[in-house]
Amino acid sequence: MSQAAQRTLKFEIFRYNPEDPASKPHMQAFELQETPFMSLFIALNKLREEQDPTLQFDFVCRSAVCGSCGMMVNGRPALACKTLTSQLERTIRLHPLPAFRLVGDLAVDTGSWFRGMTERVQGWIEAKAPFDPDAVEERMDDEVARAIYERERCIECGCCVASCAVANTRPAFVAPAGLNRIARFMMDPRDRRKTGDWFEVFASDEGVFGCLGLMACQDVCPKELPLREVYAYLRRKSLTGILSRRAKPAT
Amino acid sequence: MRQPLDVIDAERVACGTPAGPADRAAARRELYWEILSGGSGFLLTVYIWVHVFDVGSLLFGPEGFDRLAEFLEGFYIAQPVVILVTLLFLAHAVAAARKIPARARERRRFNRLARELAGADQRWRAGEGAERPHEDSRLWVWQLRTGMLILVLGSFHVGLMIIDTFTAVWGERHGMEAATTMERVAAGLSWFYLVLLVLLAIHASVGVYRLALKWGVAAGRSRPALKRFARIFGIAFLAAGIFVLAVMAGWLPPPFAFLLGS
Repeated sequence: MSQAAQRTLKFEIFRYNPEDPASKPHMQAFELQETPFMSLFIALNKLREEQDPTLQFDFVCRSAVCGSCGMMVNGRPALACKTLTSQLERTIRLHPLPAFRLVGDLAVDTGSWFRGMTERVQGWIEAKAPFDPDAVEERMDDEVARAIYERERCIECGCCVASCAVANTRPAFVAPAGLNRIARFMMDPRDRRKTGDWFEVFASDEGVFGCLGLMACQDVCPKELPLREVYAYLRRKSLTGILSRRAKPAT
Repeated sequence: MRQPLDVIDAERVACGTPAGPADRAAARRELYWEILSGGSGFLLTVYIWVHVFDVGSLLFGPEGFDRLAEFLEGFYIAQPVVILVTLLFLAHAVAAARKIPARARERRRFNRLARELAGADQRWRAGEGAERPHEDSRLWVWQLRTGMLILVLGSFHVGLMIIDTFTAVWGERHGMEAATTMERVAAGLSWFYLVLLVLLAIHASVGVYRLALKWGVAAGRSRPALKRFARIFGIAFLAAGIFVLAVMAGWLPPPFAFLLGS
């Protein structure tokens, strides 16, 4: 790897602590010597250790699995752990993700949003029958299993929500992650609910029809989820969903 | 340093939004609106192509145009089409306009986000998942802008055509006549139609692209491939339209006039 010229990186980091009434939102500048293979995760930790211990940001896994380090990097949502400084220009501008509650500086509360979204779209399995531990497990088609897995890969980092123009202006919109969640449970054969049950959940102005098809979500998704596929799937399902009946209530 | 606007949005509690009542009738209405806006857009796109070809009868000289007009009007094909297309045009405007953000603050947010996303990718060196410059948001903004202009310019054109088709205000009889049309266009309306053609080419090609994207048509193709198709589609429309317009405005002689012996 040619990392010949080590650059001095300039960071412009958004600072604001909503808990502190004296705190005013502002951008703070930092400088840092670049090291080989430096990710934003390493850079931010160095800044916190060496320059400003009050800097707030979230990290857990540092390998693009936990989804907690989403932030706006030069105006584009990205995972800080997956972004190498060598991919970026010398000046790096960091903001918290918009559309989420700000915890402080770069840390946002994506958890509450995702919990609220899950409850709202009822993103869980409604079992067809009570679980029987002695029964043989039901088989699933390989294709279906793969399709479900593709939706399941979402790590809930919130990058898609932050990049979505609709989610940014209309808080009630379920956002890309929500539509992805709906599609995941809709295609699950273990779920009791039919398309008719899902219809009113996703076929609304807050659901897939609120989507303008700008596709920023897919462009920024760190896991490169095929979101275009999800929206087309939901739209097409809405055509049959309008005629489909609801499942009989569970007994 | 400029204070970012984003803080306003970051402060907002997005998670606390109450779940709207899941209403089947409302969902059904939304689906109808979606079909209306997409479907009318698609039909209008088909129509403008047909339209370029039927006005293209002028390439056979004024006589060719008059013969086709007389045929379409004599069999009462033209009149219902004019009414139908006018209704479709208005329905499309109403249905599609539902998606335009109403508040200036929302529009600012849209534009800022689109600009930032597009700009970010230029500042981003080639890297994993970051090489795709974002242009879809900008395209959407232009789709809106051209759409609103088409509503204004198109209404004027549609109005003219209704008067032409149903009255004898201009020309010698009820209906379209090559002579009046050509005179009108040559007198200066050519520039108006040139602008309208450009707007239509942009609006329709972006619209077709987005429609395919939304409903999963050609789902196997990448988005750049779809965009390439849309661009070719738009340029072809523009080329055909400008060619016909040039003949209409008298900048070019009708190339196939000799076929009708005139």
